[in-house]
Amino acid sequence: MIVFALAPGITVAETLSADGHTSEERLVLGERMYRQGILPSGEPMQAMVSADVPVDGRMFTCVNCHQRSGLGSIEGSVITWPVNGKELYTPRRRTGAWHAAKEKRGPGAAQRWSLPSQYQAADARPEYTDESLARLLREGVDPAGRTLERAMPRYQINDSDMRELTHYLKNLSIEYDEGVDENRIRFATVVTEGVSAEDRQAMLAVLQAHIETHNTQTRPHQRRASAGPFYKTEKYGAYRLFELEVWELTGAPETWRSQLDAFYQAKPVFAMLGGIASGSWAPIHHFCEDRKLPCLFPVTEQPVVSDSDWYTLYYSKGLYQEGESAARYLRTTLDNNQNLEVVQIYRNDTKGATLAQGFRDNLKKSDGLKSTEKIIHADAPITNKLLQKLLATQQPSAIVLWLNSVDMIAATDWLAKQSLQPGLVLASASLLKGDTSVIPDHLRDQIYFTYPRDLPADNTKKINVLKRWLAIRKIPATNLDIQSQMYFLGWMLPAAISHLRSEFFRDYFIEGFDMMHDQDYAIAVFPRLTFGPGQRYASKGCYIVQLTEGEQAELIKKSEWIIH
Amino acid sequence: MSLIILLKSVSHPLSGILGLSLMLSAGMATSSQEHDPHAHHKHMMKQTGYTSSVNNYVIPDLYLIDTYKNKISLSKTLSEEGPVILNFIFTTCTTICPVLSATFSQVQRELGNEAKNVRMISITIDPEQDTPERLKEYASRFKAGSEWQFLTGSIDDIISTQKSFDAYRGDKMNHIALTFLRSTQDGPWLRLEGFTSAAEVVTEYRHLSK
Repeated sequence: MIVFALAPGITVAETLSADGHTSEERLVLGERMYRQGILPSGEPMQAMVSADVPVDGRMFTCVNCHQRSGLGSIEGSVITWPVNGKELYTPRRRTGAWHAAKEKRGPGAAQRWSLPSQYQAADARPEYTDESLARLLREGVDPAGRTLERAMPRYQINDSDMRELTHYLKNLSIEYDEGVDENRIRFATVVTEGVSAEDRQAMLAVLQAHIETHNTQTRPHQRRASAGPFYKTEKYGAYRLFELEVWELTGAPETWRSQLDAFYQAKPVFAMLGGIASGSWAPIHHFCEDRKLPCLFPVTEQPVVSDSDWYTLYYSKGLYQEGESAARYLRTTLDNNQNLEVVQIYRNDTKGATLAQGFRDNLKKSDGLKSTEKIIHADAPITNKLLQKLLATQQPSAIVLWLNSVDMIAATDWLAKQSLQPGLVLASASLLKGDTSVIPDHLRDQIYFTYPRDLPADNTKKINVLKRWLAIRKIPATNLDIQSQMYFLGWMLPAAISHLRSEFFRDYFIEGFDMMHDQDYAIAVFPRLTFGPGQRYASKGCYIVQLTEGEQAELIKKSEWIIH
Repeated sequence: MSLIILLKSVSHPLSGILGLSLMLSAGMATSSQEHDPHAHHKHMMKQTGYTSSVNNYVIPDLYLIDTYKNKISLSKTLSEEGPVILNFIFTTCTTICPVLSATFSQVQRELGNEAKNVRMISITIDPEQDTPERLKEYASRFKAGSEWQFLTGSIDDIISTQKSFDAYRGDKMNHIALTFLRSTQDGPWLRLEGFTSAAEVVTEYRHLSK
């Protein structure tokens, strides 16, 4: 006998299943069906879609359409309804959110506020029972007797597996996540030791200014939500004041995790916004991953690059992406020849290693190019002699110099003295931090740079909009790159919260960004940002540029926005 | 600023209560659906699952990239002899593409021996995410045979390609289920809109190549 309750805050009472699995184990089995399309037996789930198309669970499964939160999705004209327990086991009189303020408490708590009948959606249906849910999943017929669209697969699931899936759905997105109360949503942002006071302030000031604007309600959202018709309830019901905690991390990165845990336990937050760290973002990334805590757009050149991690949404893959783009560029420009050799030279520090990794990973996919690496010790001075020795036996077609501006002076000095020049030299504009003066004029037609941002000549208007916005709020324009990143986040945030309606689930929050249209408007420094389920790096390309001669060097594009 | 646009659309009067409420439930990635000029089509869809029309499309002169990173001239490849079945997909798509791709996979099986004479082409509408490597992985998920090609390209070229088939909807999250068939290299295209069963595609194909 399964006993469960629908109201948030009441946990599920559960007996052991027939084959002796605990409730927790059953959730794992159910989750595997829902997310990976794998049955408890280990076999893929089988289904039929579009009348006669067999689907193997490995092709796609519940999560592809209904999403992790179970709250569904919409794409083009296809609507995927919510399948979390709270929705399934409640009659659907209309689409949309549970109205917290009008929710009945105590006995009959499952009953929700409903619209006058003329406003009720045609898709109304009675609540599901375990039997009618099984019928829906197997035959595609809902409790109102309607046959669902062809896009909903009809699954072949036996009774025992059906119980596991049903158990999972009943427990999916039933309790709101922490960090939200009736009036407030709490966020945190991380600043670590080693970040300059100026960068810290650039990040924080923009974020706080956005939050202040949001909190100064220009329209009485709460009154509209409680007194307006249902669509205003939907639209304004999620409105809460935003609170931003600043979590300052000190000491070695290995100690950040326990500091983060302590901050979280003292005052849980719903999500993390922005943030800035010296060095790799990895400790914060893993904290968020373990806590299932969304982290939106941290300022970092060293994110965790992963195909499967879920909870941190980055602007880009940072330095890794520059390395990758350099390899892509070389592959397409040098590819026609055979047995070409490319040498990467970098220091044995995290930045150099990250660039080299991106380059190496991408070049692995190419057959034509051969790459070797020369790694210079983190403390060794770069001299002509050293470089001569490193490259003594090689005549590479291209050299990649992942070096900062100080090292670049030495490297260009050596390069100028070579009688046999490599066809192309590539470097990272990010590592030089804009200090292009270190490249002598006579080498400027030979050294190209990876440039992972919109070119200054192309984004003047957007930058001016940002500058005006900052000026109005009396925020000095100290670091437009950082400030523009927080500017974009601040614009997206209130709409993403409004999209939650009153469904304060973190997975659903992230899904709001996943479903977002591609953006090129409120973002000043990237040409465009693109989103999609599971896509965690919004800016996906890079330019290759060259410098003009002279002190006020301009950038010339040597490539399109490289994406392949 | 799709979020903002959508939220504006939500505050419209109650004219299309159904479309409106659906949007609220299901997310922000949609344009307003308040008026439904396709009510008739939808009626049709209830019976067959899709609507069809015959069109002449002008294929632009541009290059796309296959899963082996070869440059492929779109107009040239489409003007090669023999029948073609084509659709637009992206690999992180929630609803439409997995179903379309599973359908292609089944069409391939139902054609049996004939499959080697029918070229199938899936073109991504999310070229930034869908690199040749990702498309290759996706192809194997759907057991694509050698006659089923997956193409990506530059952002502009992918948009032009969609426009030439009247399939461009401004953003990948707006896309619709479309299948295109052509029996000869200079014949017109049969456009199927909606979710087709594999048998329906095969029937349409046989009808076309009679």
